[in-house]
Amino acid sequence: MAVLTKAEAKRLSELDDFYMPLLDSLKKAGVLDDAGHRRYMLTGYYRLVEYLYTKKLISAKDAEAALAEGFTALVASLSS
Amino acid sequence: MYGWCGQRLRVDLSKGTIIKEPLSYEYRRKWIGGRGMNSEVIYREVPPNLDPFDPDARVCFGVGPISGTAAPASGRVTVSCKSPLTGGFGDSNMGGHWGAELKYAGYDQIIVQGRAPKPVYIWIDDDNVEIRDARHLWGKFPREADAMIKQELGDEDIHIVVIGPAGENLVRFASTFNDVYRAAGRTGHGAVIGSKNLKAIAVRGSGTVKIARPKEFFDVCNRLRQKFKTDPMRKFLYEIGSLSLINVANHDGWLSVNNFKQGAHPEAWRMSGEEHSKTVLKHREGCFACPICCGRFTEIKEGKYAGEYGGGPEYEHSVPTGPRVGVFDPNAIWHNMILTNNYGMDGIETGGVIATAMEWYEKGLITSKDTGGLELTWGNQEVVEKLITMIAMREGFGDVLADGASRAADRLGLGDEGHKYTIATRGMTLPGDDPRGLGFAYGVGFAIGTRGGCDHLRCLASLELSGFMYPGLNTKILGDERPVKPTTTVGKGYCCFYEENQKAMVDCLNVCCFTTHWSYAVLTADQVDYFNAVTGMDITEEEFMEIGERIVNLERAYWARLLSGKREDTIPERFQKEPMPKSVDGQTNVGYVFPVEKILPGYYKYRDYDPDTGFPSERRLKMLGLEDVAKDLAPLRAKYNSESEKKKKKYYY
Repeated sequence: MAVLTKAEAKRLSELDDFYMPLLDSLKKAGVLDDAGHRRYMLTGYYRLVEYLYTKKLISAKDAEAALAEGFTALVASLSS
Repeated sequence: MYGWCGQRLRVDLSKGTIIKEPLSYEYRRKWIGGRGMNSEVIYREVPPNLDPFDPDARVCFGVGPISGTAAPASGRVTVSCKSPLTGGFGDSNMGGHWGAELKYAGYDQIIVQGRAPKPVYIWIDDDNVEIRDARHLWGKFPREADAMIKQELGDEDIHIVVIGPAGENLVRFASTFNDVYRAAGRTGHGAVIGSKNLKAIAVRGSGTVKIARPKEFFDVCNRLRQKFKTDPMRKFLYEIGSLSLINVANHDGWLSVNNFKQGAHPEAWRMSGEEHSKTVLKHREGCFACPICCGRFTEIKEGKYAGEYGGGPEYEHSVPTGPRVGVFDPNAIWHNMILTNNYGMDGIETGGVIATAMEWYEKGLITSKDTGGLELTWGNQEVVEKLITMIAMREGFGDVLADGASRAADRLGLGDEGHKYTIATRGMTLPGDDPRGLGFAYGVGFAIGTRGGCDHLRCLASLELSGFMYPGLNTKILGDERPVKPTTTVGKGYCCFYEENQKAMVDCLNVCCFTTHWSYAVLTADQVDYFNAVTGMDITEEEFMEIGERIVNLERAYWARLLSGKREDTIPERFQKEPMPKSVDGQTNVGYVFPVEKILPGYYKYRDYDPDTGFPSERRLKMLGLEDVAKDLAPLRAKYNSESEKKKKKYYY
């Protein structure tokens, strides 16, 4: 099941500074709680990708793409 | 106890007392060491309105829990005070070997307060600590005082922190040195030390640093040292030092030339690391446990300055008294560096204040009547070297400049037009890198830096700066490779937030940022690994970075107590309004200005700074365990936005 809508993914991928809005969207979708939101803000993008993979919200292939290509690949995975 | 010594020294020079204070587990865990512990002391013990030269003011010397171990470059020392230059929070750090020696003597920190009735130095020999007569050392250059103390104590292997004549003369940007040539340059703590009639702190330690999990620790260290063997940044820093940046800066247009009126110059190559290595490099030097060894030792061989020698140069020391004042003769630049080191002054502010005065002179705001007959024209080396001495000795026009560019503008009655050319924020002139070319995240550091306008190393957005040498790293940490482009606003808010917290931790561990998040052989996870192995703790990466965030917020709160916030989060007009001119063929940043206001709102969101005041929010302060700080700031939020406050122009405090 998609975590983000296609529209949300498109909006995020067009932002200059996407990271806080992405964390906010994941919180709104119930993927992150307040503590998780804060944890991945402090520790960085790759820790967020690890978490999403651990929670099986993205596949190993998606995680690999997210780390190689960045957040646009991640939001695409999360919206498909 | 592992890692820490668990105690600090408090020396009161008025009373002549020396007290050893224990540092609790909770305190150590909350503030770690170095910059963290020092900032805590400055916030709690130095009221924001206290004169930095008041005997009650403190100056702190802090090291971290891994200082003195085999962790890469773990020998730095943080020196902190209320800055006499900016009037706000101030700190700076230096390499060398003194920090490790302090740990071996059994101390994590020294707090000095009070004022001695006559010049003194402190001698720490393990448990034995003495305050000794230093009248015979007063007026001596660091290299002279260092040698005299070693001879007096009969020990060549002691390590000494010392100030020069500029600190004694209360030059507001006097520096502190150890091992003669390793300087903590910025914010003027050398003058605070001088105001206490303290010349030096000599240390000899015979102890060790206990490591909780030695095998784990050495495995981490060995892994990291292997990474340094192939690290691309290490190669440049070792072979040609930080002057490896000169040709890069000149190509990308971020070299400060003539007070940042230009970003490049056809003659700049002459002072490059490549040329320095071929001509005047005597040998390379490394600080404690350093796998890079970027330090240089220079001996001038030809011309007017032949025979002069000294430690350095560094990029940030050479550019301000070189291209920034229009001087491109390399031997003159090395001479100016040796001279400022001898007097014990911050090379950046020295060059910055002279460059500012040159622009005042050019614009007709001052004349030779103000300068005592000196013709302050660009590139006038004779005047530059004369002014360096006059500033250090507070003679004539030098006495005016010895207060720093912002205060000098007011002493000369130049008004807003004068301040326009100071190229400073919060009272301190900026280092020799132009954000219109070096990078927009880097430039944000000038606006929000917690030690005033210069945050070239303390919130250095290295992912933007050296990220291009580590493909994929920006994507890994920031989720996007685009922030590596200097002249884009994309991703810069988060880049600044992450790197500022990270650098605060670097300064708590007191390792060199050239080994961590400048070169990227050591990443945050590696720092957590060696921290836990040394201390026996098991903190997470999240906790580790939260400590960095706590320190940044505490320092920011110090400025908030001075009613310095959002309105002061800015950068000089030149960077925002004057498009970078073309000065050399192929210059990459021609026509750029720096739109700082586009990045700050995003950065504020990560910090949870109040959008009206720029003060740390009550919510975030409480989350960070700073409830008392939240109480301090509560009545100031409305005051900051009162009509009377809004009308004030604050160039320093």
